[in-house]
Amino acid sequence: MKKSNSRSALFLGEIVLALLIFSLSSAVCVGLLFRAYHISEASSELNQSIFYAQNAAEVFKAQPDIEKVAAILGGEIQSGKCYVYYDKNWVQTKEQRTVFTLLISPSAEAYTTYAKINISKGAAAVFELVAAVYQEDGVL
Amino acid sequence: MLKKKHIMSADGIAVFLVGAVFLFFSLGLVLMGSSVYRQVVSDAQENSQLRTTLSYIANQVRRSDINGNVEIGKFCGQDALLLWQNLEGIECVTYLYCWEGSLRELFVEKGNELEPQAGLPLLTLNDIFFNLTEEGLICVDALFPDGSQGRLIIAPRCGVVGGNA
Repeated sequence: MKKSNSRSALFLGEIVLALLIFSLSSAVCVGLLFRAYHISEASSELNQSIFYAQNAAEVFKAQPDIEKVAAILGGEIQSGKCYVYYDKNWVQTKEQRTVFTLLISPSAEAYTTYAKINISKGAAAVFELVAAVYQEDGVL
Repeated sequence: MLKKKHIMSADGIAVFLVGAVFLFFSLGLVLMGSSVYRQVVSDAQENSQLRTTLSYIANQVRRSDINGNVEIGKFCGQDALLLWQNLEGIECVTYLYCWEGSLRELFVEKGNELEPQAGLPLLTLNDIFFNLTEEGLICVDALFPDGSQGRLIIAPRCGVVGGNA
């Protein structure tokens, strides 16, 4: 009887140990899965951001006037900068429900007008590019 | 004898419980893994179709961006992008349009009338719309089979779109 009891306890101990190892492996797997999910999400956001920034750059190259750019993109001007707001599905929206913000900051130097185009999610920058337009008649 | 039976059944229940916990967590892990995998694959596919389609169109416009060679028009009732080129005196046109769930490309000599299904299917697409704004910008709106959509704005450097129709 004593032998049978000790054999059962050993078996139970083995299973508990297996479960422990399984739990550790599961924890690692769950961590990897979440990491994959976040990388995938970040990749989608970056992809969309690049397209929206490129579109803004194209508009700026066609019309290097920030007010016209804002009118075409449906954004608003604040302190000489153009802001366009998007929700989590990249649908243009009002400031209250914004997730992504496209900011166009223009600057000028001699014969060139620059636009720093920045897309951010909350306070975190997602993508940034600089567009430049050469103007023969000068900008200053 | 009775005590032994009780001990045996208690051991059995403990082993069963531990096994059940193991099974439950294994199943949970597999379900979660498959869900995350599906999401990742779906995101990757969405990224890929958006990038490929819009980049392809943008590159085609850039390639033909010589004065008057890029035109927005219709091909068999569908919105189409017409890219003109002169090959040793022969006027040719490349149509980019959507037909039967595909973005298609058709390269023909001017005046040749072919059916829309003659175009080479390039990418899966529900529909595509080309618009020219007052500022001379080409707006491309693509609708993908998964319901997502993408917008591309191109400012042709030639400054003129159309005129060769």
